[in-house]
Amino acid sequence: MQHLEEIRNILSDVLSLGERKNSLKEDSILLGSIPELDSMAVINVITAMEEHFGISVDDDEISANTFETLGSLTRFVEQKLVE
Amino acid sequence: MVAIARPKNTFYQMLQQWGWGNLGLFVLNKFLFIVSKGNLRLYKYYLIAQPVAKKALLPLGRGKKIEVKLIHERDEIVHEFPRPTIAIQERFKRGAKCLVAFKDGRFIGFLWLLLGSYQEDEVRARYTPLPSKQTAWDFDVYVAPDFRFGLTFPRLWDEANRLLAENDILWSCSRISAFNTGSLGAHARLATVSLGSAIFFYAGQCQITLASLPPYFHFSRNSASFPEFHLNTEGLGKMPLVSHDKSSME
Repeated sequence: MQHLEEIRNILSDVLSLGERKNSLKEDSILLGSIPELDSMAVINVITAMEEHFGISVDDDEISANTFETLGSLTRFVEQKLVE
Repeated sequence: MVAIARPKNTFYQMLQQWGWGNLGLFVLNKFLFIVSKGNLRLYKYYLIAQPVAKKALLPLGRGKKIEVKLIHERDEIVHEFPRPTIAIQERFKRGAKCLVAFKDGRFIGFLWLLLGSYQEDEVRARYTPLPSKQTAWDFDVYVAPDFRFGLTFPRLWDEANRLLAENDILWSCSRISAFNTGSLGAHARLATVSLGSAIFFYAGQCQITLASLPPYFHFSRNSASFPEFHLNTEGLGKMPLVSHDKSSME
């Protein structure tokens, strides 16, 4: 997961996680564990990822499964990068 | 520091989001409700105002697959609403407007707007947004469970803001339960301003209201008696916006 650190930084910046960023691991649950991460914030995270990685995310790809853990989100981005 | 590695400490998360005061009231309400078999219960609401956003919440191109339209009371879709039919009819009778969201023709959510006073249906209270020509009341924002993580909530609000702006409305007021974390968080991102809070304590048919805004205290023995809260948004735009730690998305 070579992009895990970048995804963690994006989440931290967009959601203003502060020191909580350091406890985010690959298997860290995102949804339900980070109060700031709701449907409004997700749009900002997606936009930031699109700009950072130069990818395009379709509306239908924005799902709870993708955002379940830091690892699942990273896998989603890495999959988009090879498309 | 909040533990975000596992959702293992619900109590700690509730404390983090609600604070000791609201968590104490929540526990007290549960206790009273159980020991009195429903005769004793309490509610705490935040009364808030949010500016009618001139800029869309969704970036350009997002949410286009979600259709949002204003419906009338005889629209068949109301039968799919997870609310009692009589409550829906009563809302329309009072002049409320209903925006409904659809995805591929399927009902996925709604948002209600009202110009004028809103008679609370959970406790005995009336809210009157002021000035009346530039302030609306929004209530009962619902998003179907499968779509709560998607774009439905901001899509509904973008359409609501467009509709309100067309009618020269500058602010929309609402009440949010202090015990509804999802709603508190969602509204916090809509740049809400806190106008005050109210606690309603029920003992059988009696209701005692304690509020941080006039009338501050009210005692009611029956449904004909209720406190009326005037929620004045005049001059709010000149005040710094407060980000509250707070769809009813139930």
